[in-house]
Amino acid sequence: MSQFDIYQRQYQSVEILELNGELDAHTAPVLEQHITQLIKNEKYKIVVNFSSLDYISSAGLGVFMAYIEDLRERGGDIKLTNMKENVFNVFDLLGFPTLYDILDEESQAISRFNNPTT
Amino acid sequence: MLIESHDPNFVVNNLLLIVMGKLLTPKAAILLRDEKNADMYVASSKGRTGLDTNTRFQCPPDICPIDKPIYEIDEISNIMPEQVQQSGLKLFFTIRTSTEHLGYLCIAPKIGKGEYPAEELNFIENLVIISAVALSNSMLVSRLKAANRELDQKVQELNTLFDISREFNSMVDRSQMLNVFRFTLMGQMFVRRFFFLMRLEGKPQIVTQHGLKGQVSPEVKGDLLNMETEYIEVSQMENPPEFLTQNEIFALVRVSFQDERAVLGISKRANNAAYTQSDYSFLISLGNLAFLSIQKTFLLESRIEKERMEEELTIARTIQNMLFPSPIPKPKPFDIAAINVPSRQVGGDYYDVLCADDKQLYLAIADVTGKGIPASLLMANLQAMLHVLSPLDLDLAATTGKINNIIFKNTPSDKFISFFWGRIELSSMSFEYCNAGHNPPVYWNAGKKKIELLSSGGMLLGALETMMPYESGTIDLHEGDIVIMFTDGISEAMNEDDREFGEERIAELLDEYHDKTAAEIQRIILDEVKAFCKGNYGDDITMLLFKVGPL
Repeated sequence: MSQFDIYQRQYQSVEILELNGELDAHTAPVLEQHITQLIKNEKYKIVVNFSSLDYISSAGLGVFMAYIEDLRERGGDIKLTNMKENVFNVFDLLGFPTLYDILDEESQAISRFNNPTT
Repeated sequence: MLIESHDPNFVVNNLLLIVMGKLLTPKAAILLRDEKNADMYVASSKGRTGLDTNTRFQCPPDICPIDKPIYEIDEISNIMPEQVQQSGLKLFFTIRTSTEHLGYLCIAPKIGKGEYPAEELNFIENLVIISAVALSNSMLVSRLKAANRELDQKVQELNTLFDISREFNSMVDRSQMLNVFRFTLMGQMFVRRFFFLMRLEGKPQIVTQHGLKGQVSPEVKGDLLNMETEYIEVSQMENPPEFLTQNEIFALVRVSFQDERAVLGISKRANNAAYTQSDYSFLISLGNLAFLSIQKTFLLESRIEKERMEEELTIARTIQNMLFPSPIPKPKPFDIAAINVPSRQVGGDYYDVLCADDKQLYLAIADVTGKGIPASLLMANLQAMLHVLSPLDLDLAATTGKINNIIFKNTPSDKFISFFWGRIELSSMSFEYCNAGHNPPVYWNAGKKKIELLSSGGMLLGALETMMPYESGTIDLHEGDIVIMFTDGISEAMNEDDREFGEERIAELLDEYHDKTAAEIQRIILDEVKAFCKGNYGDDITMLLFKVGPL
């Protein structure tokens, strides 16, 4: 079975989810649970840090798809950072860069939340 | 720099800029041929040519002239569309390598309408030759890149199918399964709205969806399930239901397995990229996988349910067995035999033998309409009543009337009980009985050596409230007398010609075998019935008989 963990941190008004291991059909519900919990707690600014994520499947991408509209309608967003190349390739192949902010560093994502115009 | 670049756009743009800068050309464009589509497109255009980049036009490959390095517009006006002829571009340099004709570099006359000197044209000719190689190489590279990406996408699709099928195989929970399906579909197809419709328990239902608003009627759902093609884009439908258009569902994909069907509806991709034939094939595969896995969960559930029912029935049968007398009381001088064989695990037939205070012997037999659990519940109800009433030494006929009223209240109008019961006073050997619509028991009168039927009583229990009082009959029992009570499972057992076994046959057997013991007579009758219907008993079989021994 695939290994997957999420470490959750907070920086100012931004919630940071650090993904570890493999995000696939089996582990996608874990990520979903974290995101729905954040929405329930009215935390709409989310940065997902992929630095320790080794693998992602389409089901993992689907979780981001399922909540992006919800979050944006509430003035928030999900920004994705620190992807390994193989993980980024999957996002890229399926067209995600057109809809999501995908950034090299977590700090860039945080400053974009704080300064939406830059 | 031109030659090293692997980006066709870079090559094209630089070629134009160099030409325009060197020659003071106010407008220029590059038209490239597309072998695959057999047409030509504007790769780049600078200055006021009126041509938009990527505009395509027909250009049959076999009539494109390539023999000369430079053509004037008049020489090739037959293959150039109106737009190009109006663009003010005048000279067309053939861009070709030794094997390939790539297109044309087109330039307008010099600023100030001057002619281009020969050495300038020469320079461009040479430049075009060099650029052609660079362009050809870079186009090859980008074709390879595109092919590579397509391959990567295929691999990703396969990984997705593998990922989800592995997950489905390890799951039995339907809602988890649908959740995984939802994420996989949205992630792989990059869609935000979809629905998955299938028939569940006869009704079309949307089993999972995302982002849909509004209700959809069962009729519309039924119509969608009847779609005729493997997939269809909603824009091609004649009268697409509002549900689809309002929710911006772009395409429907049909999934079918044997006679069962499901329909997957999806919106456009979030980046508006079109769906290819290959995307639809993938959606059909994914839909099939989900459809089969979901059906599997239902089969599993119904199997579990069936096993649970069977277990409960076994317990019910054990309980019902305990409602029959065991051991059967056999006060002297009576020889008593009884049997009950339900056609299902539990049945609606009933017999009982009760000995009250060693003074009275009650015998009862009953047949509840129907079979199985409903019948067995009523049978249990009747059994309880008899056990409460029999020690009270009540009037037999009047009590039958009261029982009828209770049964009438307790049962739906299509449930009845045919019931016969009797009470023997052991001191006087007087047998009083009441027959409530039951097959008349057969009485062998040993003294007269003849058969009588015990039919005094009234109507079936549970049909109507008691209006006419029940009657009772009485016979005095003597040594050798036999009474056989049975249900219609015996008298109405059918042979292959649809003929019934009949009460007369029982009477005949009794006439012949009245010297035998109760158990022997029972055995003989059962064997006869079995031979008659070849073991195909259609109903519960119950028999209760007694023989009076030496007083």
